[in-house]
Amino acid sequence: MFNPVWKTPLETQLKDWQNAPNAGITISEWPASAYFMVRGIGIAQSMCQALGISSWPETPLTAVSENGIRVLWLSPDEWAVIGDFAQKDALEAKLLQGLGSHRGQVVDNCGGFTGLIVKGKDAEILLRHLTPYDVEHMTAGKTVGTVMSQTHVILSRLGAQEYEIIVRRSFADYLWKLIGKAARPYGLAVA
Amino acid sequence: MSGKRIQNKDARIDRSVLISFTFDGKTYHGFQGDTLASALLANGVQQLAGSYKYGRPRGIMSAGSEEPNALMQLESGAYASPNIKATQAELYAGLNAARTSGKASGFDAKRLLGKLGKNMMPAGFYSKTFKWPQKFWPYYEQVIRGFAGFGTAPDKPDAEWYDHLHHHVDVLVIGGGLSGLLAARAAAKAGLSTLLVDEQPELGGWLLTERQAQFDGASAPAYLEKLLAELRALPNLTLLPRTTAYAKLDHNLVQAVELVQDHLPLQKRDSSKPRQRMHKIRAKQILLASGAIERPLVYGNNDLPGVFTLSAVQTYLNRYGVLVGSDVLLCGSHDGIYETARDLAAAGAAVTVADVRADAKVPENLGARVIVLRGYGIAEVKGTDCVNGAVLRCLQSGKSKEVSCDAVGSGGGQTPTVHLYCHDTSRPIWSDSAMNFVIPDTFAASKKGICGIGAVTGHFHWADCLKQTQTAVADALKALGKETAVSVPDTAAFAGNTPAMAVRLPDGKPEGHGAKAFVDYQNDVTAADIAIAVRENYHNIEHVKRYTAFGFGTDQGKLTSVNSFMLTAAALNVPVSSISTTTYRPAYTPVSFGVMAGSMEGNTFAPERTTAIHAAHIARGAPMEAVGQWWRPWYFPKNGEDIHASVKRECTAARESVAVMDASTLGKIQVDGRDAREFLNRIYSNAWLKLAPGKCRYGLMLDENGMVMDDGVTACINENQFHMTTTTGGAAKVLDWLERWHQTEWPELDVWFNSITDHWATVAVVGPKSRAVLQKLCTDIDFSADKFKFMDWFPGTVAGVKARVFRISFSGELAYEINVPAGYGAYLWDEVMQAGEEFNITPYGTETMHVLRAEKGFIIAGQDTDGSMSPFDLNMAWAVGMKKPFSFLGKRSLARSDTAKAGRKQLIGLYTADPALVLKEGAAICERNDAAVPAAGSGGTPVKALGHVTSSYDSAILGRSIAMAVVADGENRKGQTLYAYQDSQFIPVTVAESTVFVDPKGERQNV
Repeated sequence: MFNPVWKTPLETQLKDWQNAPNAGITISEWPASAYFMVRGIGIAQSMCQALGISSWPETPLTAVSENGIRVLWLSPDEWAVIGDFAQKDALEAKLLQGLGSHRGQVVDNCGGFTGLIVKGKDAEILLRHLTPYDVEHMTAGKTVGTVMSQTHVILSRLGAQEYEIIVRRSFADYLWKLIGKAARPYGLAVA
Repeated sequence: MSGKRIQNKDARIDRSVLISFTFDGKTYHGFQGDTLASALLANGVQQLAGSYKYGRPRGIMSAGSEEPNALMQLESGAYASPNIKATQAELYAGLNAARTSGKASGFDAKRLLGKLGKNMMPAGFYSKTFKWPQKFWPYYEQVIRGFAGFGTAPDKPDAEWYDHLHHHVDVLVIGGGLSGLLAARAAAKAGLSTLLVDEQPELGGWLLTERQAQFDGASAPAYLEKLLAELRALPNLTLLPRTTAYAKLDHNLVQAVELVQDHLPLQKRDSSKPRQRMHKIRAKQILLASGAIERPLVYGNNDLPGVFTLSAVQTYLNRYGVLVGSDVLLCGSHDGIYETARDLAAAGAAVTVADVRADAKVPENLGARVIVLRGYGIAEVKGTDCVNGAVLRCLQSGKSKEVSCDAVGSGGGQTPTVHLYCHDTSRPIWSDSAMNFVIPDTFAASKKGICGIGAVTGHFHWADCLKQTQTAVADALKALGKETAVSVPDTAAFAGNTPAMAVRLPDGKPEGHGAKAFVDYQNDVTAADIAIAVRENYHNIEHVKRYTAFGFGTDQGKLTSVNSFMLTAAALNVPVSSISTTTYRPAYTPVSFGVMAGSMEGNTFAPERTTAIHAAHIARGAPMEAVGQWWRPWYFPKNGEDIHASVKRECTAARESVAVMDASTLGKIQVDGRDAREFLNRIYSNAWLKLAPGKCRYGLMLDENGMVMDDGVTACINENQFHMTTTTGGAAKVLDWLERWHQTEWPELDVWFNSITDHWATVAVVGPKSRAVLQKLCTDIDFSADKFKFMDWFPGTVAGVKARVFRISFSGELAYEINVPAGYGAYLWDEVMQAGEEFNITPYGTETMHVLRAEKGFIIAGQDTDGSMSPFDLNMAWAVGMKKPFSFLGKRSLARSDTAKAGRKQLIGLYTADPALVLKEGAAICERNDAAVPAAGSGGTPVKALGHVTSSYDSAILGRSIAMAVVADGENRKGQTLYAYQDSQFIPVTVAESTVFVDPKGERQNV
């Protein structure tokens, strides 16, 4: 008799957005996603085994995308693992299996974060309005923790004109407002 | 006679675009390409300001950012901009400008006072005069402030907006003169990402004025055009005109402001673009090509309208086609006087040249109407509102000679614009050959990451300057891994006279007896003031600056500070190199508040963190309250209720039926690891070793001083996992605190932390009917009183969502907190509201939460505590496990004599004698009610306060007000009458038996 409804943090804001004509920037929000924070020491091998992936990112500022999941290096002992929402429980079980008896933790944070995919010819300059990080020299595949005005974000470059910003749920509306302001000269559309 | 427009085909104005504008309410015309200053001069407007101290008439002095006098109020209302330099404001159709000081005509009180008191207002006048009696200062200040200042701050919200843009480049070139342009070309051609900024609308620097030198056989305008075409075609070079680099900060961060739309008519400004943009530029190498500013000479009445710097005379003529006078007197110590004279004569002016060098070789072909007097200086300029003549003085014989003239230009040499090189508080170096303060002229001698090129290094003549640029740029590029030849144009070597050193031109009188000779125009500082300051024993240049006020203001002494250094050295009879300079600090030129703020305004001034349920609160019309960065509903008014009625209704619902609150903002931290329990035992003051899975406990966190820093309920999820909660505002601090102690002191403990604040949405269901609401929503948890006890938690399915349900209470009522992943937060809230409808479930905000908890005597860390309250001060000894086997943070400090002494401030409850009166939080608590409280600032003896009110509310259930306070020796004052001081009254209060005002036995929550 209950019919639970999951709402992503920016669902309403994106729905209400008036698309600019000839927008230089297009933004979409992640759907509901599995999102785990994994911390630990010496877990790379067992995580690869448990998740069925060939590598676990141990090099700073890198990410691995394989077998339907993404693993982002966040710090020497902390990673974000992102996957399909429908497979959340199975993913958690695999992560706990990968952690095994190692020191560490697996934290479900699917409610705590959302991601924005930013695309278009003006995506780069939009980000340069928002963050002091060196976006001009960011190579595709790079993932960094940085700030946009007064919020922390995890910024990844996905392609030539495509980026991803991961932000805490409670800061998402603030970030959206910042994006809306910074995008004025270029035009923003919601995909 | 004053300035006029002349035919000059090389002028950088577009005569086909006539522009009308207003100044002081009168309409004038100028051309596209004019600045407000050039257009005003072309219209014969000379006097456009009154000086700061003496109210003397002032006009335009310069043609750039060094301008001290021509400060304009531009536009009005939402577009108002105060203190814009006319020399930098680009003319646009409909521009509305007004003077910011002095009067065009009629009675001017300041000018009159300045005249009458001209010899009675030396340096230090205000501090010497308005000292006594001390208590009169506020009245003096009011009058003095009325005289002071320039433009008016806007009185309406800004109609335009601003943004910031970050750059990471290999090479940043600051300055778009010839050196800068050549450097940018070399860097970009070598494949380096290059950015060039220049404060002027048009790139070219002095090339825009130069009409005599040839570059690769071409005139300056022709060469510039070709060079710019080449630069614009380079893909890795960005050119930003109208962009002033105003600060060089640590790590080679340069901040520059681009005036994106200031030059456009108001109706043509594009609302999709910012008015101004701040560029934050991080460059591997900065090439500082900021050039130099003409240093005027110091002589009597050198501030009359019609007196200019030499380079300004030349710039107005060649760049804007404006002849500043028909009979011009030029005086200087370098050959710039002859170049300017030649240009003026060619434009039809009569020119008198006074060269302070008696032995100078006069160049040929100056023109028929040029008279040269060698060995002469200006003793005094004549005129009341404008120049109408001058007295020259032979520097050798002292003989005077009167000349007629309607404009004066003077030049004592070039002052390198060293500011950005010195923004790290270092000083420039004195150069004998440049006769000024310069920065190093080689890459090797320069600081890491920044190197001067061109005139800023003291190489002022074209050939010399280009040679320095060529070498320094090549060395800088080599250091970036690009070995390349830097090409520069051919130009003739300088073959003129050696410049001479000149600052103060003598008038034959002791300093202070002749006509005023200004060294700082904006602050009305004269040569005599510098002499007085030195005589009164101010010998350090920073002291001389502050005593006389030279170098302050919107021009920051760009034009004349070096004259002040030199005159100070002369007065002290020491070389100026030993005086050095004052400190160069950002900003180089004034920066608007708007562009500094950028997007930090309005709803993005600071983060407004919102919960997953926020939209529902807004839809219910709840006013919001900022709690830390969080935006929380304050109360939920119904049918036009005010806050009191609303809170009363919400409190009653919680106590009598059921109420609901969004508690998602509480900080939450997941703690994992085999030593998680041990870690909690050390970090909290109470005991944690025996807390079983499925149980919750309230914990107090103390700092090293034993004082309460945070509190919250922590649940044991399983043997190795805990769900910790913190205060809303303390979450980040607590996470840092945990990491710090783990990483620095107890790394051997196997414990891990992660913020789960945003992951969980928390709905608190509170009141006698809360159990019934939960039972409607959740069937896989047994809610019976003996199965689900107070301080238990159970996992379960609430409204179809996997949840953690905690039976905890911040109100003293039966209450549950439902936690679900935040994506379901809005859904859960709606389901709870629906399930509670039959009980008239009532949403409540932070205000009701405060009342409910205060009725129970529950503290709020940060409101009832202030970093000086120990658990004992709060009567919370029950939350301190002094017998724990391992120490806990703050334990040792609790035994310190001061922390353990009797009579400390302790938390107590208060009842007012009048039950309807609600005390003000912060009101002082006093022992007696007959003390005379002195007026603020009167210096009377203060009344001793015992403490202050920390929490105070109207309690609906008690039908009266309640309050908590921290009071010295409070625990021994139960039953005493004390007095709260507020609104100039002593309010009698009685100290309660306990801070628990409602249900002291806890019967309401244990049901």
